[in-house]
Amino acid sequence: MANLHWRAVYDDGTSLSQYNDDGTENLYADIDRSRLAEFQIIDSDRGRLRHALLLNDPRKRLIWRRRTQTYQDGGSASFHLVGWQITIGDENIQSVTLVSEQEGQEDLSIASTGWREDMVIFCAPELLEFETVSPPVLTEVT
Amino acid sequence: MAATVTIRRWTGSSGGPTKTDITGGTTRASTSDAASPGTSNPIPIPPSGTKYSYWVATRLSADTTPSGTINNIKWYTDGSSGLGTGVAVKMNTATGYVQATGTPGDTGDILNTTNYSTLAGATSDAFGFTSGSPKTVAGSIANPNTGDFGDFVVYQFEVISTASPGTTPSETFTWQYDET
Repeated sequence: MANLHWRAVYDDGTSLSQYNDDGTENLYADIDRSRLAEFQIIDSDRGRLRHALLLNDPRKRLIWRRRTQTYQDGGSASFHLVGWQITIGDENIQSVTLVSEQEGQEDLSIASTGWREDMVIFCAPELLEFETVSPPVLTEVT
Repeated sequence: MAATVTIRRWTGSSGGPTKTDITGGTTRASTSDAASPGTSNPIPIPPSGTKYSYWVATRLSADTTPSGTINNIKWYTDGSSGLGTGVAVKMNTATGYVQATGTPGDTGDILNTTNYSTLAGATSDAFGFTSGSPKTVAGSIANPNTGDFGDFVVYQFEVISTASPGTTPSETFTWQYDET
């Protein structure tokens, strides 16, 4: 099973990794969404980038989950669900990709243009409070 | 770090239930309130009517705490019963635990809201819940908590006269959850 973790890259080039060099952990809730430019999934064992989500619009709200399926008679499969959603008027638009942790699926990712209630693996997450608000759009006043 | 989450089967009295880790193994339904009944107390095939297993109450447990939150729990089957003719599985969720009752070696009491007061409602065919239409299980757990979380998934086997003797093939029930 691949060891995956996330890294948030900010618009000034700095970044926040899920794990610090000393092994301590930063929380998903710690990500400063107002400065977020890119969200990456890194394969810790291979030291390589598995997936990068470029966020070019501050209205696009990052969604990340580690989604696990546990089979009662044994085994499990985990995926990192990475995407964004945006609300325009009454419409909520999403884009989401699943990145597999499974052995033999090190290069597998599956994208969907939105939540799929007819496919449990792509079902909508229960949003956390900080995921429901778009960061303010900063405008320069001259 | 990701939490260690296990599936627990609850048996025994509600005041001090036994919570057996059934993740990664086969768990059997029987006509007894036993977590690991083996082939003892099988469900008899009735000449008419229905015999029931004791209900099986299962729930997730976070044996280590998540970094953030675990929520969005789903439960489903492969949608196709391989248990054979005359054998059905009915299920629903429940907010609490009620010890399974019945007549050992003969039949369990039927799983309904009369016998299981915290059951969400009438039971339905477990194989109606699939990856395309899973059962939503309410509940969540957040750091720094550990232990049981989410509603119970409670199911019961039903056997009628057309069933064949012997051990049925196994079926896989799947839990899905999200973690941050």
